[in-house]
Amino acid sequence: MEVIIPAIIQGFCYAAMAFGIYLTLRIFNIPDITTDGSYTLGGVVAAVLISNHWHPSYAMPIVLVAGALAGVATGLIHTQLKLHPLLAGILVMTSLYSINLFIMGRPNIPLINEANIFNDNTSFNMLLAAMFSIVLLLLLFWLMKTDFGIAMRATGSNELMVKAMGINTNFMKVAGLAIANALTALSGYMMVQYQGFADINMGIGIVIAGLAAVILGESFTAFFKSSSILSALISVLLGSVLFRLLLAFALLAGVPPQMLKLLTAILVLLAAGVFKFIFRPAQ
Amino acid sequence: MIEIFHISKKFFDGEKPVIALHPTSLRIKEKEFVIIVGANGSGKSTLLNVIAGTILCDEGKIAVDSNDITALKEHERSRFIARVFQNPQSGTASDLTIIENFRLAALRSHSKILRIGIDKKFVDSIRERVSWLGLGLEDQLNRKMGALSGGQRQALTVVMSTMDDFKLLLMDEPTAALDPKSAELIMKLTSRILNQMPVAILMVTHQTKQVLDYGNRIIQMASGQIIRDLDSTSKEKLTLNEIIHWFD
Repeated sequence: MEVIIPAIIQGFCYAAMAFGIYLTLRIFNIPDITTDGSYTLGGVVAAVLISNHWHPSYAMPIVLVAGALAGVATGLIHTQLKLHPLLAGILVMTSLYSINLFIMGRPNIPLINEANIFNDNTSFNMLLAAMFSIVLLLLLFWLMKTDFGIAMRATGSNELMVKAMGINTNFMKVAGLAIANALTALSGYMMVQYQGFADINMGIGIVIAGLAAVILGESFTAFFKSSSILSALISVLLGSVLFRLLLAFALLAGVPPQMLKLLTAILVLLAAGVFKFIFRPAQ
Repeated sequence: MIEIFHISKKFFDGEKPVIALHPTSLRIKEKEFVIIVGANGSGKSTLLNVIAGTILCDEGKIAVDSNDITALKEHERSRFIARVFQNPQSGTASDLTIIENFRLAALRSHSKILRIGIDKKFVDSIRERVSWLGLGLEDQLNRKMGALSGGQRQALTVVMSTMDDFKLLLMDEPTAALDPKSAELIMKLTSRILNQMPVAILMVTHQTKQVLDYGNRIIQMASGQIIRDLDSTSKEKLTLNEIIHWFD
């Protein structure tokens, strides 16, 4: 249990990032990998503020704004300079490595004896992380149902039609990337407090965890033959937790930690390539 | 009233400019249903795209009710212009439900804000509009648009265009991809719009029968310019044979 429970808590912490990946990848059809940088950015901003005795609840809005700015940067590079979103994401992610180091002033910040949203009580931590991700899920569900949300979803579905409907698609893409990266930064904010430190390398390869959550989640939606937004969001949340559990089981089964990234890639490959054939989604 | 003054458009094929549209002027009044005919490459689609703002013209001016829209982007022109595309997939968003597509159409000239706009009243009003089609879609408003046939989607696209005010409806071969029955429904719908709304319609078609049966003005284009412009009186006298000879 000392492996399983933390894995579930982490799954909830990473859910925000997974929602962000879902938003860019599935709603906008934009592969955004700013994630590695904006996740660390969220963690770094949180760690710097909290270690300067800010209360975590005051640090949170700053973290969200920082993440959103990273998304805006990627969005503007993509929409205004017409660079491929992958390249735009790589540029911003790479820049963020230096920016994050600059913000921290050193490669890592421990958060000992500082205020923290988590405490020593495992059940409390679990409840808090679960509540966090469920509130986010409900907020996102609401957002998708608003007129703005419908316009966002349409932008990813049919750009030609959306322009004829008076929607500025560039604005929508920038807004979507801002929301996605704000969510990603929020995951960094939570993980830094959960693990008790921020590290400049904490975000390396993290985008695959978000992808894994989304794609594992989709095997749920395919299984339940539902294509509604709510079930998609629930699946992403479940996918995030399931992914952490699978990694925990792998470690328990004796897989050496250095093999985890390979295992992750294989998992995503299995989920994306093989489950598709087993559970064909309802068309 | 839509006024087009001397708009022109060149494309570049490597070094060599290709003139897609010679300086063209056109004035379309309210309640006019203008049908544009012309061979492939005659500039019909370029004209439509320049009016819609999908491509910007090199020279000239476009005005709607004396508002100069020449510099406006496509999404900014949507206040005045509604569109139905040739491809039935183009006018609607597949991943959204029917009702969500209608919601966007209802907000064509408004901002899309953080507000849930699909309430019971909205659903009821859409149900009524959609039921007019007689396709039974009014009971399937929560279905994804992508699950419908091309004919159903195109019919919904036309109904969607009436959800918000506009001055000009641009239709680029709206029935080219449809079976005869769906095509007839689209044309009936279009006539109904013209009867009930203070708008003008500009439609490109290759179907000579539609030219005779619908519209109250006909324009022929060739090599990037307007070579014929007949009002309703001259159009009345047209025969199928005459139109076919236009293309000799």
